[in-house]
Amino acid sequence: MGAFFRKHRTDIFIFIGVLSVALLALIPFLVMKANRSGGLIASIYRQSELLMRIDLSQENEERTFEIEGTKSMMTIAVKKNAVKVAHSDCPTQYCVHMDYVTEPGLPIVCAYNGISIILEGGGDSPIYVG
Amino acid sequence: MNPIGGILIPVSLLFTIFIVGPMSKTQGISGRKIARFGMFAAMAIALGIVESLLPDFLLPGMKVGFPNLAIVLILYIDGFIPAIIISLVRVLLVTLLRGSFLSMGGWMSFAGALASILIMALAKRLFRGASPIGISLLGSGFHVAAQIGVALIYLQTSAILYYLPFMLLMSIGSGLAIGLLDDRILRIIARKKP
Repeated sequence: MGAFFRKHRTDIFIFIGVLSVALLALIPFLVMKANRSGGLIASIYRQSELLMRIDLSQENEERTFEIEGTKSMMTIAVKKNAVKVAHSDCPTQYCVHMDYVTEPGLPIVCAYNGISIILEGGGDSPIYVG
Repeated sequence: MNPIGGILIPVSLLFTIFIVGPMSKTQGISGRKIARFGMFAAMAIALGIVESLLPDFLLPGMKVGFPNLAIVLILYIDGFIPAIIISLVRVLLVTLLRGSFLSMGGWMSFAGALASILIMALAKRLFRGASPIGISLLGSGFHVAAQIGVALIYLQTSAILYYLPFMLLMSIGSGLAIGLLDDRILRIIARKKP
Protein backbone atom coordinates (compact mmCIF):
# COMPACT_ATOMS: atom_id res chain seq x y z
CA MET A 1 0.00 0.00 0.00
CA GLY A 2 2.84 2.41 0.89
CA ALA A 3 4.58 1.55 -2.37
CA PHE A 4 1.41 2.38 -4.25
CA PHE A 5 1.23 5.84 -2.66
CA ARG A 6 4.90 6.55 -3.39
CA LYS A 7 4.55 5.46 -6.99
CA HIS A 8 1.36 7.40 -7.63
CA ARG A 9 2.11 10.48 -5.54
CA THR A 10 1.65 12.93 -8.43
CA ASP A 11 -1.53 11.15 -9.51
CA ILE A 12 -2.93 11.52 -6.01
CA PHE A 13 -2.10 15.25 -6.02
CA ILE A 14 -3.94 15.62 -9.33
CA PHE A 15 -6.87 13.63 -7.95
CA ILE A 16 -7.08 15.86 -4.87
CA GLY A 17 -6.81 18.95 -7.07
CA VAL A 18 -9.67 18.00 -9.38
CA LEU A 19 -11.79 16.81 -6.46
CA SER A 20 -11.34 20.06 -4.53
CA VAL A 21 -12.28 22.13 -7.59
CA ALA A 22 -15.43 20.02 -7.96
CA LEU A 23 -16.30 20.41 -4.28
CA LEU A 24 -15.67 24.18 -4.41
CA ALA A 25 -18.02 24.41 -7.37
CA LEU A 26 -20.59 22.49 -5.34
CA ILE A 27 -20.72 25.15 -2.58
CA PRO A 28 -23.07 27.65 -4.33
CA PHE A 29 -25.40 24.77 -5.08
CA LEU A 30 -25.52 23.70 -1.43
CA VAL A 31 -25.98 27.29 -0.24
CA MET A 32 -28.94 27.63 -2.59
CA LYS A 33 -30.46 24.40 -1.27
CA ALA A 34 -29.97 25.49 2.34
CA ASN A 35 -31.63 28.85 1.68
CA ARG A 36 -34.76 27.15 0.54
CA SER A 37 -37.79 28.14 2.54
CA GLY A 38 -41.46 28.10 1.71
CA GLY A 39 -42.74 27.91 -1.84
CA LEU A 40 -40.84 27.47 -5.02
CA ILE A 41 -40.55 30.04 -7.77
CA ALA A 42 -39.82 29.02 -11.33
CA SER A 43 -38.12 31.53 -13.59
CA ILE A 44 -38.22 30.81 -17.30
CA TYR A 45 -35.50 32.38 -19.39
CA ARG A 46 -34.99 32.51 -23.13
CA GLN A 47 -31.21 32.92 -23.35
CA SER A 48 -30.64 35.73 -20.86
CA GLU A 49 -34.10 37.28 -21.15
CA LEU A 50 -36.58 36.57 -18.36
CA LEU A 51 -39.86 35.41 -19.91
CA MET A 52 -41.87 34.79 -16.76
CA ARG A 53 -41.74 33.99 -13.08
CA ILE A 54 -44.27 31.59 -11.64
CA ASP A 55 -44.97 31.06 -7.96
CA LEU A 56 -45.29 27.29 -7.94
CA SER A 57 -46.72 27.18 -4.42
CA GLN A 58 -49.88 28.84 -5.80
CA GLU A 59 -50.39 26.21 -8.53
CA ASN A 60 -52.95 23.87 -7.03
CA GLU A 61 -54.16 22.41 -10.32
CA GLU A 62 -51.88 20.89 -12.93
CA ARG A 63 -51.88 23.08 -16.04
CA THR A 64 -49.86 23.46 -19.23
CA PHE A 65 -48.99 26.47 -21.35
CA GLU A 66 -46.91 27.27 -24.40
CA ILE A 67 -43.83 29.45 -24.58
CA GLU A 68 -41.90 30.55 -27.60
CA GLY A 69 -38.32 29.29 -27.80
CA THR A 70 -35.65 30.45 -30.21
CA LYS A 71 -36.58 27.75 -32.74
CA SER A 72 -40.06 26.47 -31.92
CA MET A 73 -42.84 26.45 -29.34
CA MET A 74 -42.45 24.47 -26.14
CA THR A 75 -45.09 23.19 -23.76
CA ILE A 76 -44.44 23.69 -20.06
CA ALA A 77 -46.46 21.94 -17.36
CA VAL A 78 -46.74 23.20 -13.80
CA LYS A 79 -48.35 21.81 -10.68
CA LYS A 80 -47.91 22.48 -6.97
CA ASN A 81 -44.17 23.01 -6.33
CA ALA A 82 -43.16 21.28 -9.56
CA VAL A 83 -42.43 22.21 -13.15
CA LYS A 84 -41.55 20.24 -16.26
CA VAL A 85 -41.19 20.50 -20.00
CA ALA A 86 -44.15 18.57 -21.36
CA HIS A 87 -43.31 18.87 -25.02
CA SER A 88 -40.36 20.10 -27.06
CA ASP A 89 -39.35 19.63 -30.68
CA CYS A 90 -35.67 19.17 -29.84
CA PRO A 91 -33.96 16.03 -31.10
CA THR A 92 -32.40 15.03 -27.78
CA GLN A 93 -35.48 15.41 -25.51
CA TYR A 94 -33.22 15.79 -22.45
CA CYS A 95 -35.47 18.45 -21.00
CA VAL A 96 -38.59 16.30 -21.43
CA HIS A 97 -36.92 13.28 -19.87
CA MET A 98 -36.05 15.28 -16.75
CA ASP A 99 -39.77 15.14 -15.96
CA TYR A 100 -41.10 17.13 -12.99
CA VAL A 101 -38.40 18.99 -11.09
CA THR A 102 -39.25 19.76 -7.48
CA GLU A 103 -35.91 20.79 -5.98
CA PRO A 104 -34.16 24.15 -6.45
CA GLY A 105 -30.68 23.87 -7.90
CA LEU A 106 -30.39 21.79 -11.02
CA PRO A 107 -32.12 23.78 -13.76
CA ILE A 108 -33.93 22.43 -16.79
CA VAL A 109 -31.95 23.57 -19.80
CA CYS A 110 -33.14 23.16 -23.37
CA ALA A 111 -30.18 23.93 -25.60
CA TYR A 112 -32.21 23.63 -28.79
CA ASN A 113 -34.66 26.38 -27.91
CA GLY A 114 -32.37 28.41 -25.66
CA ILE A 115 -34.81 27.98 -22.78
CA SER A 116 -33.75 27.48 -19.18
CA ILE A 117 -36.07 27.01 -16.24
CA ILE A 118 -34.58 27.81 -12.87
CA LEU A 119 -36.20 26.87 -9.59
CA GLU A 120 -35.63 29.09 -6.60
CA GLY A 121 -36.64 28.41 -3.07
CA GLY A 122 -38.99 31.26 -2.21
CA GLY A 123 -38.88 32.98 1.16
CA ASP A 124 -37.17 36.25 2.04
CA SER A 125 -33.96 35.87 0.11
CA PRO A 126 -34.51 34.43 -3.31
CA ILE A 127 -31.31 33.87 -5.23
CA TYR A 128 -31.47 35.26 -8.71
CA VAL A 129 -29.66 33.23 -11.29
CA GLY A 130 -29.25 34.02 -14.96
CA MET B 1 -28.96 0.41 -39.18
CA ASN B 2 -25.37 -0.37 -38.31
CA PRO B 3 -23.16 2.41 -39.61
CA ILE B 4 -20.05 1.57 -37.63
CA GLY B 5 -18.43 -1.17 -39.67
CA GLY B 6 -19.36 0.23 -43.06
CA ILE B 7 -18.09 3.69 -42.24
CA LEU B 8 -14.93 2.90 -40.32
CA ILE B 9 -13.02 1.22 -43.09
CA PRO B 10 -13.35 4.03 -45.67
CA VAL B 11 -12.80 6.61 -42.93
CA SER B 12 -9.55 5.07 -41.75
CA LEU B 13 -8.43 4.67 -45.37
CA LEU B 14 -9.16 8.33 -46.11
CA PHE B 15 -7.39 9.37 -42.93
CA THR B 16 -4.30 7.38 -43.88
CA ILE B 17 -4.23 8.66 -47.47
CA PHE B 18 -4.86 12.34 -46.85
CA ILE B 19 -3.39 13.06 -43.44
CA VAL B 20 -0.85 10.51 -42.38
CA GLY B 21 0.37 9.82 -45.92
CA PRO B 22 1.60 13.36 -46.63
CA MET B 23 3.06 13.53 -43.10
CA SER B 24 5.11 10.45 -43.76
CA LYS B 25 6.74 12.06 -46.81
CA THR B 26 7.70 15.29 -45.11
CA GLN B 27 8.64 13.92 -41.69
CA GLY B 28 9.95 10.51 -42.60
CA ILE B 29 7.37 8.56 -40.62
CA SER B 30 7.70 4.82 -40.95
CA GLY B 31 4.99 2.57 -42.37
CA ARG B 32 4.65 1.07 -38.94
CA LYS B 33 3.67 4.44 -37.48
CA ILE B 34 1.24 5.15 -40.33
CA ALA B 35 -0.51 1.88 -39.62
CA ARG B 36 -0.62 2.72 -35.93
CA PHE B 37 -2.05 6.22 -36.51
CA GLY B 38 -4.75 4.81 -38.78
CA MET B 39 -5.56 2.15 -36.23
CA PHE B 40 -5.78 4.59 -33.34
CA ALA B 41 -7.86 7.04 -35.36
CA ALA B 42 -10.25 4.24 -36.25
CA MET B 43 -10.32 3.13 -32.61
CA ALA B 44 -11.07 6.65 -31.35
CA ILE B 45 -13.82 7.13 -33.95
CA ALA B 46 -15.36 3.72 -33.28
CA LEU B 47 -15.36 4.38 -29.53
CA GLY B 48 -16.85 7.82 -30.13
CA ILE B 49 -19.70 6.42 -32.22
CA VAL B 50 -20.37 3.54 -29.85
CA GLU B 51 -20.50 6.03 -26.99
CA SER B 52 -22.89 8.31 -28.85
CA LEU B 53 -25.28 5.38 -29.24
CA LEU B 54 -25.31 4.66 -25.49
CA PRO B 55 -27.85 6.46 -23.33
CA ASP B 56 -26.57 9.14 -20.97
CA PHE B 57 -26.43 8.15 -17.37
CA LEU B 58 -27.58 10.34 -14.49
CA LEU B 59 -27.17 13.72 -16.21
CA PRO B 60 -27.99 14.86 -19.73
CA GLY B 61 -24.86 14.79 -21.85
CA MET B 62 -22.92 12.71 -19.34
CA LYS B 63 -20.58 10.31 -21.13
CA VAL B 64 -17.70 8.12 -20.03
CA GLY B 65 -15.28 9.49 -22.64
CA PHE B 66 -14.22 6.26 -24.29
CA PRO B 67 -12.41 7.99 -27.19
CA ASN B 68 -10.00 9.35 -24.60
CA LEU B 69 -8.78 5.78 -24.17
CA ALA B 70 -7.24 5.87 -27.65
CA ILE B 71 -6.08 9.47 -27.33
CA VAL B 72 -4.14 8.86 -24.09
CA LEU B 73 -2.55 5.76 -25.66
CA ILE B 74 -1.36 7.62 -28.75
CA LEU B 75 -0.17 10.52 -26.56
CA TYR B 76 2.04 8.11 -24.60
CA ILE B 77 3.24 6.10 -27.60
CA ASP B 78 3.77 8.77 -30.27
CA GLY B 79 3.64 12.10 -28.47
CA PHE B 80 1.66 15.32 -28.70
CA ILE B 81 1.43 16.11 -32.45
CA PRO B 82 -0.06 12.78 -33.60
CA ALA B 83 -2.34 12.79 -30.54
CA ILE B 84 -3.83 16.23 -31.25
CA ILE B 85 -4.27 15.44 -34.96
CA ILE B 86 -6.01 12.16 -34.23
CA SER B 87 -8.15 13.76 -31.54
CA LEU B 88 -9.34 16.56 -33.83
CA VAL B 89 -9.88 14.21 -36.78
CA ARG B 90 -11.95 12.07 -34.45
CA VAL B 91 -14.12 15.02 -33.43
CA LEU B 92 -14.53 16.14 -37.05
CA LEU B 93 -15.60 12.71 -38.27
CA VAL B 94 -17.81 11.76 -35.33
CA THR B 95 -19.64 15.11 -35.46
CA LEU B 96 -20.05 14.78 -39.25
CA LEU B 97 -21.36 11.25 -38.87
CA ARG B 98 -23.74 12.20 -36.09
CA GLY B 99 -24.92 15.37 -37.80
CA SER B 100 -23.86 17.65 -34.97
CA PHE B 101 -21.07 19.33 -36.97
CA LEU B 102 -20.97 23.12 -36.35
CA SER B 103 -23.92 22.85 -33.94
CA MET B 104 -23.65 23.44 -30.21
CA GLY B 105 -23.00 19.75 -29.55
CA GLY B 106 -20.28 19.71 -32.20
CA TRP B 107 -18.53 22.75 -30.75
CA MET B 108 -18.78 21.23 -27.28
CA SER B 109 -17.05 18.07 -28.51
CA PHE B 110 -14.43 20.15 -30.30
CA ALA B 111 -13.65 22.40 -27.33
CA GLY B 112 -13.63 19.45 -24.92
CA ALA B 113 -11.29 17.39 -27.07
CA LEU B 114 -8.94 20.33 -27.68
CA ALA B 115 -8.82 21.38 -24.01
CA SER B 116 -8.27 17.83 -22.80
CA ILE B 117 -5.47 17.00 -25.26
CA LEU B 118 -3.69 20.32 -24.55
CA ILE B 119 -3.85 19.91 -20.78
CA MET B 120 -2.82 16.25 -21.00
CA ALA B 121 0.24 17.08 -23.13
CA LEU B 122 1.14 19.95 -20.79
CA ALA B 123 0.66 17.88 -17.65
CA LYS B 124 2.66 15.01 -19.10
CA ARG B 125 5.55 17.41 -19.60
CA LEU B 126 5.17 19.25 -16.26
CA PHE B 127 4.35 16.43 -13.85
CA ARG B 128 7.08 13.91 -14.54
CA GLY B 129 5.85 11.59 -11.81
CA ALA B 130 2.31 11.33 -13.13
CA SER B 131 1.12 8.09 -14.68
CA PRO B 132 -1.60 7.83 -17.36
CA ILE B 133 -4.09 7.72 -14.48
CA GLY B 134 -3.41 11.28 -13.35
CA ILE B 135 -3.07 12.56 -16.92
CA SER B 136 -6.39 11.06 -17.95
CA LEU B 137 -8.02 12.46 -14.82
CA LEU B 138 -6.90 15.99 -15.73
CA GLY B 139 -7.91 15.52 -19.35
CA SER B 140 -11.35 14.37 -18.32
CA GLY B 141 -11.83 17.30 -15.93
CA PHE B 142 -10.80 19.89 -18.53
CA HIS B 143 -12.96 18.20 -21.13
CA VAL B 144 -16.00 18.83 -18.95
CA ALA B 145 -14.95 22.37 -18.07
CA ALA B 146 -14.47 23.33 -21.73
CA GLN B 147 -17.83 21.84 -22.67
CA ILE B 148 -19.59 23.78 -19.96
CA GLY B 149 -17.77 26.88 -21.19
CA VAL B 150 -19.12 26.40 -24.73
CA ALA B 151 -22.63 25.77 -23.37
CA LEU B 152 -22.35 29.00 -21.37
CA ILE B 153 -21.47 30.98 -24.49
CA TYR B 154 -24.21 29.33 -26.55
CA LEU B 155 -27.06 29.45 -24.03
CA GLN B 156 -26.10 32.80 -22.47
CA THR B 157 -27.30 31.71 -19.08
CA SER B 158 -25.30 30.96 -15.97
CA ALA B 159 -27.85 28.27 -15.07
CA ILE B 160 -25.63 25.80 -16.85
CA LEU B 161 -22.92 26.37 -14.20
CA TYR B 162 -24.98 24.30 -11.79
CA TYR B 163 -24.05 21.27 -13.84
CA LEU B 164 -20.34 21.92 -13.39
CA PRO B 165 -19.76 20.34 -9.95
CA PHE B 166 -21.76 17.21 -10.82
CA MET B 167 -20.11 16.83 -14.19
CA LEU B 168 -16.68 17.33 -12.57
CA LEU B 169 -17.39 14.71 -9.91
CA MET B 170 -18.51 12.26 -12.59
CA SER B 171 -15.45 13.11 -14.69
CA ILE B 172 -13.23 12.01 -11.81
CA GLY B 173 -14.79 8.55 -11.96
CA SER B 174 -14.60 8.24 -15.73
CA GLY B 175 -11.10 9.73 -15.85
CA LEU B 176 -9.91 7.22 -13.27
CA ALA B 177 -11.48 4.31 -15.14
CA ILE B 178 -9.99 5.34 -18.50
CA GLY B 179 -6.62 6.06 -16.86
CA LEU B 180 -6.42 2.69 -15.09
CA LEU B 181 -7.29 0.90 -18.32
CA ASP B 182 -4.68 2.88 -20.27
CA ASP B 183 -2.05 2.30 -17.62
CA ARG B 184 -2.63 -1.43 -17.89
CA ILE B 185 -2.62 -1.41 -21.71
CA LEU B 186 0.61 0.62 -21.86
CA ARG B 187 2.27 -1.79 -19.44
CA ILE B 188 1.27 -4.74 -21.61
CA ILE B 189 2.59 -2.97 -24.72
CA ALA B 190 5.89 -2.17 -22.94
CA ARG B 191 6.30 -5.80 -21.91
CA LYS B 192 5.72 -7.00 -25.48
CA LYS B 193 8.38 -4.70 -26.97
CA PRO B 194 11.61 -6.51 -27.92
